[in-house]
Amino acid sequence: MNGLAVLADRETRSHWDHITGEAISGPLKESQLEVWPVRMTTVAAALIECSDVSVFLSGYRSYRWRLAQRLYPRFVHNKGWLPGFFYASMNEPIDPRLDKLDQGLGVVVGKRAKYYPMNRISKDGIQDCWLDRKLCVERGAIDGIPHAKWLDKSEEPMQILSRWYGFSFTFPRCEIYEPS
Amino acid sequence: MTSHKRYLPLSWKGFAFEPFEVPNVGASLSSLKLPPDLEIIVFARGRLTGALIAREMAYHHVAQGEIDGHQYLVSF
Repeated sequence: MNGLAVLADRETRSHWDHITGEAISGPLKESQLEVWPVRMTTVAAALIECSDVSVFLSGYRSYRWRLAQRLYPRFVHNKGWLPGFFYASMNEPIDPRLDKLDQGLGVVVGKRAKYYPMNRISKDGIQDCWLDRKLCVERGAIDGIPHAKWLDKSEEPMQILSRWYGFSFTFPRCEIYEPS
Repeated sequence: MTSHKRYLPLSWKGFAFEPFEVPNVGASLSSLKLPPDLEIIVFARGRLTGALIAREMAYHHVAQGEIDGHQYLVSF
């Protein structure tokens, strides 16, 4: 839906938004899973920043598995590409405020969401006053991938690295970071 | 996300992918000779800091496992 994966649980066949963790249809509609951020990085960066990481390799193999790996060898720094049927699944036009395939970091606090396009995050990072707090968004020195944390308590808000089309469909009318 | 259910990802109009069932034990990142620029998805739950290969997840879309009696799933 909207060019995004939809999860279904096998017990009830309810459908779930894989970003928000909310059931969007089915018997469990409006149920909410606990969500937390994951971090996209590279092997080189992880070896320095996280000393004890267990890697789980998929043993699954199929034609479609190989095809997916060839189509998407990288996610972060490439331009990106959407198969035609992604567009056919979209219920409405993509929010035109940014290019649909722009890459960026989306930050979510309750019902509020803000998108930080990667090309607006300088190498020194940014400090953004948002929701009466100061949010620091920096790109990793090794992987170049943005990450956000609150400056007052060094805690991490819910965040996801996402193409613009996906984040804007999930959080319509979200805010967009504008450098001052 | 934390859940007691089992999930599978669907793409357009019911075209389903096989979720990645995360085993209980992984391999140490430092012991694997993976390319330095390979993209990985790092997640932390309880005492576990785990990593999935991003391009493998391009197919699976979702990984699900269990730690300390709590089921979790990872998507991106």
